Amino acid sequence: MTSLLHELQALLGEAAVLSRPEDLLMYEYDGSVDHARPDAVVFPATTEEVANIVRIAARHDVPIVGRGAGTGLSGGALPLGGGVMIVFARMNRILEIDIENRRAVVQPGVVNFDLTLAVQHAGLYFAPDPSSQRACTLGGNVSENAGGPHTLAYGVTTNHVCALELVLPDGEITRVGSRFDNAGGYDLTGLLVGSEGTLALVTEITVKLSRQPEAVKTLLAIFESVDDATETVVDLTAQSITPSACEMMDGWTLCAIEDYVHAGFPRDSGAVLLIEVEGLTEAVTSQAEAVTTVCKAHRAREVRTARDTAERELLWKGRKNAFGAMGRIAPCNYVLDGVIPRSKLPAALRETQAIGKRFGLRVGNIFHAGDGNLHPIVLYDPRVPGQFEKAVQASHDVLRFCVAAGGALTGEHGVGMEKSELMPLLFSDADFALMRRVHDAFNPRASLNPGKIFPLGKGCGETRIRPHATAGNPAA
Amino acid sequence: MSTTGERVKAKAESLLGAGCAVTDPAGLARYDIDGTPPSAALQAASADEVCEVVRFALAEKLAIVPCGGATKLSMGMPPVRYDLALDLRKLDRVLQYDPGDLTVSAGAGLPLEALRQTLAVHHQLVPLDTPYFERSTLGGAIASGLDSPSRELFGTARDFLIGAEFVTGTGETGKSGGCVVKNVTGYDLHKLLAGSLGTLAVLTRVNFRTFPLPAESRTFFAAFARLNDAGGFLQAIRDSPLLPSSLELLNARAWNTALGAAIQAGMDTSDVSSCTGAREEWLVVAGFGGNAAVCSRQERDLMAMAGRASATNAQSWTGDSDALARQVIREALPAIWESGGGTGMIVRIGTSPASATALIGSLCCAPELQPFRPMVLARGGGTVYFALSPSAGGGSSDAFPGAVRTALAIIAKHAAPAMIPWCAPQWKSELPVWGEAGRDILLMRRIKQAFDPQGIFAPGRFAGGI
Repeated sequence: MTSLLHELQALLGEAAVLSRPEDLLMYEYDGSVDHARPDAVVFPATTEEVANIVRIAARHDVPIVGRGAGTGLSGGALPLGGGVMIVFARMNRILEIDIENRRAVVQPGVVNFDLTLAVQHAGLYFAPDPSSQRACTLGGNVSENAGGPHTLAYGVTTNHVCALELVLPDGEITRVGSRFDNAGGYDLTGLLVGSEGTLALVTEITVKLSRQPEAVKTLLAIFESVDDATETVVDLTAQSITPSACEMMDGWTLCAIEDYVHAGFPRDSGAVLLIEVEGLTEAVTSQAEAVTTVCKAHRAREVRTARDTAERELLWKGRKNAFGAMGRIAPCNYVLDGVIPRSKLPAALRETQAIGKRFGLRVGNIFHAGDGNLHPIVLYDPRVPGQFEKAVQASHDVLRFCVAAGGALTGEHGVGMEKSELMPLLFSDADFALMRRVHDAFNPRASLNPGKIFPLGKGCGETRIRPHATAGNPAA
Repeated sequence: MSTTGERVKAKAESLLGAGCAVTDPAGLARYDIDGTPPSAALQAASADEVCEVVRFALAEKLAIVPCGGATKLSMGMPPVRYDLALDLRKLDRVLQYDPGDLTVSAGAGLPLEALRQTLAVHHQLVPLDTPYFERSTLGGAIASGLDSPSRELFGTARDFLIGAEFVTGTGETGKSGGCVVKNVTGYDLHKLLAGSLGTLAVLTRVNFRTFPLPAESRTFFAAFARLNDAGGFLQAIRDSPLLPSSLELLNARAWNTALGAAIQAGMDTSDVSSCTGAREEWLVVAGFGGNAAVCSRQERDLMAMAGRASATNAQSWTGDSDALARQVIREALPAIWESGGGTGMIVRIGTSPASATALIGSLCCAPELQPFRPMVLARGGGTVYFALSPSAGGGSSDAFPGAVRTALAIIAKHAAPAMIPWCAPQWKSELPVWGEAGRDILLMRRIKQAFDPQGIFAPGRFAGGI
């Protein structure tokens, strides 16, 4: 270890290498409930430095994990096998902005929202907008194929990434994809986006920029019951009304948010839908009318339209800070992420509530209703023996329901170390064997982010996972 | 019948049932690739049967080319071995469609037109309007990697293909994604299959997200005497808030060729053909849709922009004329290809929208290319198709490869990647059908190895000899 550290310090300078336990402490967490501590944290400034770090680690047979801002919710950036953590905080430059052709080239450490800030003067923005967009990095977005409320209309990260520069586990630097039309060949960019850092380290990203719509209307529909709200979402979809975002929050969650953000949400409702329609002025007018009609047909008490940008931004601030608001209520919360076909929404909400009751845990509901992406928030107190375990069991029950309903284990947070053991609910041994061969095509020695995505026994690099570093109760 | 053919037929019929193997020359002509037929064509009706065929091929060391409508078998290099065509047209069912979910799942052998009809009943669509539409299957349209006019709004197949099931070169089934619009569970292997030309796996089931069919649909047409004016019009549209569902620029020869093919097919094109005059060299065609108010607004804005860009003629088509214009644009590339008797080539270039006009100008003005009837179809997003053909324009065949190399040199000067999806068999060995390989070709070889370790799927057809 000492010689590894010396080599890293010689490469990067002492300030760019952390190894004291007190320095490493904050890197053993991300936004998930798991934790695992790296042996060293390094801060490269260039692609070449990343490649050299990878070569040094390979010589010492030490695994590597990439990390952006650590906002991930599935333990994707936790070093399950210890080793060297590469934090991309210093690789945070926007390298090029091509307004005319709506492209940008960025380093992986650029914060998602900073890209939008850099191009909004030209009427452009970066479409994927995860709730953590003011903190999370584009490198992390690429790894997890991040989503967000507006992906309902504009697609997730993979739909907005054209090309990548990679460092492979042997230190090779290579490029995949192309800036405009694909040049022929397999869509390696499509494979790498969402591969959770298990195939390569991404050191440069070429993204598409989107044009800001001419008109936006943000509607807040207030319902007496959760059922009315979910039935509204099903009906909107069935009538082919396609808002750019359609978020649901239950009444209990709204009160928590209101105490925290003062966004103007009602304190006495069963649920609200936050619905946005965008596009040409004429389209927005008619879509907003259609949305209002459907909401009213499902007994909406009120459908309020945000009067101006300030009110709109406040409503979104409320939505995007919902998870933070939970921190005022319970010492810990566990944000789940499952997907169901949209028509199963009412049943899914009822099931989530039933599961919460069964385990005696409070479950808040806030999610991307429009695309069937559930985010129940399970509140728990880690000081109460057994409660964390119950929260995990409740999570598993919710996900089992999602799969049984024809859905998936994760819509945007990733499998990481959180859900790898649930993967057999969806995939067969032959499926895992193929995924493992694809994994090995990039990362044959499992030196990059070992122990993720694959369940134990179906993947690779299990020997690299430290028994004491696996999932656990952070407060325990 | 060849000995291999007989042996294969006997075995295949034992696996798939009588009548599922074709070995007679007339029947095999359909599966011909660049003049070479397979020894046998086998029709599988389920993923299990596909597995059986692949295991049989593995045991017998036979090479397989998956096949749907057989419209794009000539794409890529001819496979170095071609024993079996695996015909998937029997996998032709819609397997799951609840319009309320805005997703659909279907067998890979389902014709594009059949899916269109199923969805249209519920006012939905899957934006897969690739060339050869009426004869193509879902699997073929995805595997070919061809784009379609609607990519302007919806992207290409990889953007709305949300999951797939397939059979790999080990004879096992595989799957990725699912039938929900948002899903990051496991690797997105289906994205690798889009554009893989059947070299990784045999698609058996494909899942898409669907989109609402607009209440009304129109096509806007503007003609220009000068390329720069047409380019200015395209730029004005891109800079506007308008959301065309398709946007193409064509030279008059390409447009007239596409229109001519429609006339030959017996369609009444009088409304549409009356608007191109002799002095108009460049045409911009934009499709758009929405409710009546949205359509009127777009039409009004497009008309004003066309006027400012010095269009010599501008029209908006509705109803049958709109449908016809969309079809003409969708099938323009096959029409251009056929007009040269399939003797030339069409190169696909990935340039930037802003520099497309300059590139097209350099290509179309190059004197040495004139004898080969240059034709252009450029999509609004910067993808340019450029066609040359030796037979129809008086250019000599001997000089053709040189002319193509001149065109490729012009393209290289613009630093745009290029590949040649349509190429007459006789030029394939001389021309860079797959463009210049990058360093990522090493990764692609390893991906091939992961899916098809024995190399039985269309060996040699893909980039870098994969």
